[in-house]
Amino acid sequence: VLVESFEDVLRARRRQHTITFRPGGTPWPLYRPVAWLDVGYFAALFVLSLMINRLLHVDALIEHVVHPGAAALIFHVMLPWTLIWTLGNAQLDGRKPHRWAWSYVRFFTRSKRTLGGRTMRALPLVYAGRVRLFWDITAPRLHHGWVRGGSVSTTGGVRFTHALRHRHSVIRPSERHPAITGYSVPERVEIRP
Amino acid sequence: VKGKLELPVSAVRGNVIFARGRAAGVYRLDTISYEFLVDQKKLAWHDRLFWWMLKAETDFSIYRVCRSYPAQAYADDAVNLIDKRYADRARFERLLAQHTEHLAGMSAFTPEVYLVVSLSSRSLIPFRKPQAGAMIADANRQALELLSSYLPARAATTLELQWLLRRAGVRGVGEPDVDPHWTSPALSLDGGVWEPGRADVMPFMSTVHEHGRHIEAKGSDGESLQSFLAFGALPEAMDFPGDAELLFAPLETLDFSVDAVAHVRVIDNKTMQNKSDNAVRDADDEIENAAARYVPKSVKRRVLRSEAIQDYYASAPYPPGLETFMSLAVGAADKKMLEERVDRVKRAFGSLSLHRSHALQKHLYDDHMLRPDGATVRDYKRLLTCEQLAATMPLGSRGAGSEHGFHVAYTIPGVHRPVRLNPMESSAANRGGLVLMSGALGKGKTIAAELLMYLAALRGSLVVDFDPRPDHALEALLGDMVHPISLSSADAHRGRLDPLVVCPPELREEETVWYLMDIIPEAERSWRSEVLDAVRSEIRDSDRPSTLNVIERLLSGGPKARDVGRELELWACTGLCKLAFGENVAPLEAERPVTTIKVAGLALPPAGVQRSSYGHPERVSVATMRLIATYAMRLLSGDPSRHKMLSLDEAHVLAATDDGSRFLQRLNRMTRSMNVTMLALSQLIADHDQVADLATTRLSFGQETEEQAKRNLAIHGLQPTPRLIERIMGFSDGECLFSGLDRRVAAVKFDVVDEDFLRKADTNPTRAIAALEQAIG
Repeated sequence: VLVESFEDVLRARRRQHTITFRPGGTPWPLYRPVAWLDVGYFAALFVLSLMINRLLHVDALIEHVVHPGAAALIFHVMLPWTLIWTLGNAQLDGRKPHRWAWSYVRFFTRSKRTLGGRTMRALPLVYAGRVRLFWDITAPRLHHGWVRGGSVSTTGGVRFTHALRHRHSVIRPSERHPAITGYSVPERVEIRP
Repeated sequence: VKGKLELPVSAVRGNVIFARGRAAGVYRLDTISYEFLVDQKKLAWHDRLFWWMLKAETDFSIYRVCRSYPAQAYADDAVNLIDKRYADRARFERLLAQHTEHLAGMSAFTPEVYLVVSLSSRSLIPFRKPQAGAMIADANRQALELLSSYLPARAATTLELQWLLRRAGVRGVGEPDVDPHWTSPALSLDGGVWEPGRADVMPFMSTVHEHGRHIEAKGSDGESLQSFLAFGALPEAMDFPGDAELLFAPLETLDFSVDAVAHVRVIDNKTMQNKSDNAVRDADDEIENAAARYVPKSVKRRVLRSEAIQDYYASAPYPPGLETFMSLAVGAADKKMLEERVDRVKRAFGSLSLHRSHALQKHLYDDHMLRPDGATVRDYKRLLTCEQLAATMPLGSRGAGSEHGFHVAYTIPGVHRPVRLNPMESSAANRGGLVLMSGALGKGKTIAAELLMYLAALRGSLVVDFDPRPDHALEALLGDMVHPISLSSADAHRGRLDPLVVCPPELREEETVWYLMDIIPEAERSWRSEVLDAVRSEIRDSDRPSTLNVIERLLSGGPKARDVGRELELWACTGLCKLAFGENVAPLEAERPVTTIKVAGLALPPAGVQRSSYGHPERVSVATMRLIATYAMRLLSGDPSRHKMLSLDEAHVLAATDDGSRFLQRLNRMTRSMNVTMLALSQLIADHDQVADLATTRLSFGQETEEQAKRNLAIHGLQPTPRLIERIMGFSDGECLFSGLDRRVAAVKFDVVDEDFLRKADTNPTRAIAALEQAIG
């Protein structure tokens, strides 16, 4: 069975294929069809370019480089049309260029390190020296901590166990076991509530 | 801490997840062993997916995620295979420990498919929250009912939801430590109305460090580097079955886990009709307005395609459009491995564009999390038809064998997924226990059979192995568990296989007559009744019947009986026939768990030779082999509660003829009541082979001729396509097509686990010498 994709057909915008200069006149075929939406975008950009020019006199700047007659054409026609054509046809990473650019802006401005959407700064926290930990057995959010090197002493009873799929030792609080004093950590040990 | 808390799931109730004002039911779909299904069945599965998508009328997401093969669970399960009465428990546990270690090292995984279906509950009461109580429960039940009517589905468990959330942090690296006691703290109110409470899923989240083209996830379960690849535009046309199976075939060729997700927004048929009408109008305009100039072929084609899609949406069953975002997730322990894996994934998908988007990796990570509200990434959404999405075949997987059993093989190619076999399964299911192993010489049949016998012996089964060449290595493998019985034409072995002594009572008369007539080179037809009469008299009148007594009865009978008696007297003292003629010889019984019967001087005919072309030594050898088979059944006729295994090498010699085939069928019938698994090793499968049809487990090793390849494919119920014929002919050592009791077919390679096993059991003389030299050196 041949499974066909019709995305190109369904996604296609309505386009103008000819242009008529007077009502009832001969339709002249366009070099290539123009999407109606692109015409709208062009109109909007054209107005925008007029406004920008009014404020900044961009065409006057361009006139320093090109022929004075061409400056307006470049700024009010060619530039908007190129922009529209690029946004409509080019792809970067399989995306529309403006979407690509916007995701880059977002990427450079947002926090890179997050946990559940919240920004996390400088985690995991690494302590050196003597660190006091408190176990709250009923606290559901207390996860675990790691001790690398050094020694561990506790004020309450603890038991040694193992993580299910890891090789390291785990220290858990236990009322039925004695406290430890100066337990020398061989490599690393995990502390769990 | 700054930023808004954004959890993929904010509340959980049973299998319903809630977030951002949306509710969705999570359902687990069973995967199917898809690769070797015939085209009609593939199309049937496609249709089931298609019709569900058509009827669902709601947004949904498909998660195809990979779970590491649970090696420890294997040990916990396989330990139940032991027969405590007969097995050496310590040795059995050592075997399982070896298997567990091996399986853990294989890094195997199995795909699991979850469907998240948006539950849209509408109330007649204005402004009532959609999450409100019973309406969501009803919508969930209806969604499951609809799904179950098309696909094998069930509601996902809380443990599975937890696993789906936690595993995202260790994707491609390991498995999370799932907390079996975790429950979502939803509130249950009296009167059957419930409101979901806030699920404490925060501990399952990993810290995500975003980079350009990958992310680093660090959580309590481990650390992993992950990269996400979004699907680009799909080709204009794809074959189904074939390259359209995007969520099956390419992923199965990879030996590392790749997760896939498809978030689908359903666009109703009316909107799709409008879109297709627009497309037709535009195409018509283009043709009409450009009538005066040259119209390219592509424009004409576009008109046709527009009309086709217009017809598609405007006709029954009026399908919806599916705006689909599809993406793949690759995980690895380090950057180098990640890059290598990403490259391999891209290669596996060939010309299809996969975009490893810069600056979007974190969003894609979020989209791969279990969530009720579909994709967050707006790019890469494709407008697909239901047929297209169904053709991606997310349910497809590869696998065969028993649910509970010994690890005996792994799937090939791509990921090595363990294949288990339970030899007791057929008896438990009231089926015959015939395991047919066919293949050309040197393709691994013998080692596979020895592995099955080895495992059966260690679990406490009684094993009898007929070794005609003899080259089996059970003595080397199992040591003092094996009782070797060597038979030859020497006088010391006279009468060891007397059919009146060794055959089980139900086969005794028929087998004796058949044997006596078969060893006479040119027996007259009328002699048969004389022999039958003498055999019946001997069984009826004698306390200790024997074939020598039958000869005496014949010699003392009428003229015809004397003729046949004289002929038999002559052959009774010749070669292997001595084994069947003795006086007062007590049959050897099974003294140890494994009995291996070796016969020196057996001249079995080469595979494929017609019975009419047999010489006399070959006829005698075949007849002797048949006696050995009946003798073996006698050895196995003890306690029916104990499982037994019989291995019959060179079984094609018996299966090649009608009476031999009937004989094997009789043995097969006996296997069920006697709790026996019979391994029939055969080099050839005859046309319309009835024995092959009876087999409950079939293993087709490498074949040498196209004809044999076709016959082997037929016994698995497969169409002999050139691709499959080429594949089965290309199987090397231990590779085979495997189909078990449930008829699932997979290409597998036998896995002996222990290197030492292979060294001892290898029948290849060159390799055996090399191994010996290595051992000495």
